[in-house]
Amino acid sequence: QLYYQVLNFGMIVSSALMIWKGLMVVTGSESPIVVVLSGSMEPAFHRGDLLFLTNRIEDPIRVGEIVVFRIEGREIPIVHRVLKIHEKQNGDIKFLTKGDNNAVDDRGLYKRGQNWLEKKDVVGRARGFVPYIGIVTILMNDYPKFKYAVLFLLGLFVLVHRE
Amino acid sequence: RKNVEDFTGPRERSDLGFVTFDITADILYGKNGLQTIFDWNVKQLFLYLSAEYSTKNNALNQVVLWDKIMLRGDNPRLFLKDMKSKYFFFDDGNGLKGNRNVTLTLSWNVVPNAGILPLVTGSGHVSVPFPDTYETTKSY
Repeated sequence: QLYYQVLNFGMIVSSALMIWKGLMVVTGSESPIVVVLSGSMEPAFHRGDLLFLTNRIEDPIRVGEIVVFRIEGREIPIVHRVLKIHEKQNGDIKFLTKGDNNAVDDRGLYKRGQNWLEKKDVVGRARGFVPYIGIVTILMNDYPKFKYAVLFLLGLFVLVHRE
Repeated sequence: RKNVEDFTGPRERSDLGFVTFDITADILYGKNGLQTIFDWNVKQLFLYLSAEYSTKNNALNQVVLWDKIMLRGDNPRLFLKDMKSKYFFFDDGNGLKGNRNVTLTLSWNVVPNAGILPLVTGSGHVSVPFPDTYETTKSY
């Protein structure tokens, strides 16, 4: 009985992992779904909104697009809009970003001495979004007790469901 | 247009362009069952005017000169005259001087309540030729 439950749990976890990895392949992004963490893109996006990204190399970066990028050496991805691009003949591109709700562009956010972003800094392009849903992950991050409660409840649910 | 040290970023002298423009736009709002872009799932439009051009240094340059957020419920008519660009029009180099092929286009990002985020480019565009000489006096 217990053996079966453990297997069942394992199946659920590996299916979820497979779907996530599949999403990564299809969208070309290492992080196909991100949660908006700040209010710098209001009123379009608010903290807790969920964004769906693609990161296909064939898609050129153009102004107006909403990109999710990481600054070298920093963990937190930033979601802002492309303000300026300069692209060379061979495809090398450098671009500048700005949050809709910010008064100035992002140069102040980049690394010291860094004036532009490059393709390698991009995690993905925002193609779609769903509001509010990501609040759960923010809550789990800010309140670890909440995260344990959620995991505990999930585990309970799986066990009880089997009866 | 001037050749000025780009004080917002890299410390080399680059061309700085000054453009003034008028925008007249009528975002259809769907009275009497007409087609509208502001359907039940549209929360806002992010409009932006961008300049696109080629230079010796870069095959493609795009610079957003002006943008505006139009919320559902805002006046859908734009009648802007003699607007100055909101953002500094710095080139990456000196490619604006004598550039005859700078094209201005109006585009917009449709932001839904939930769903896909399309970018739409307006069908009209305007060409802005830049003069061959720099301005020495501040007439902006």
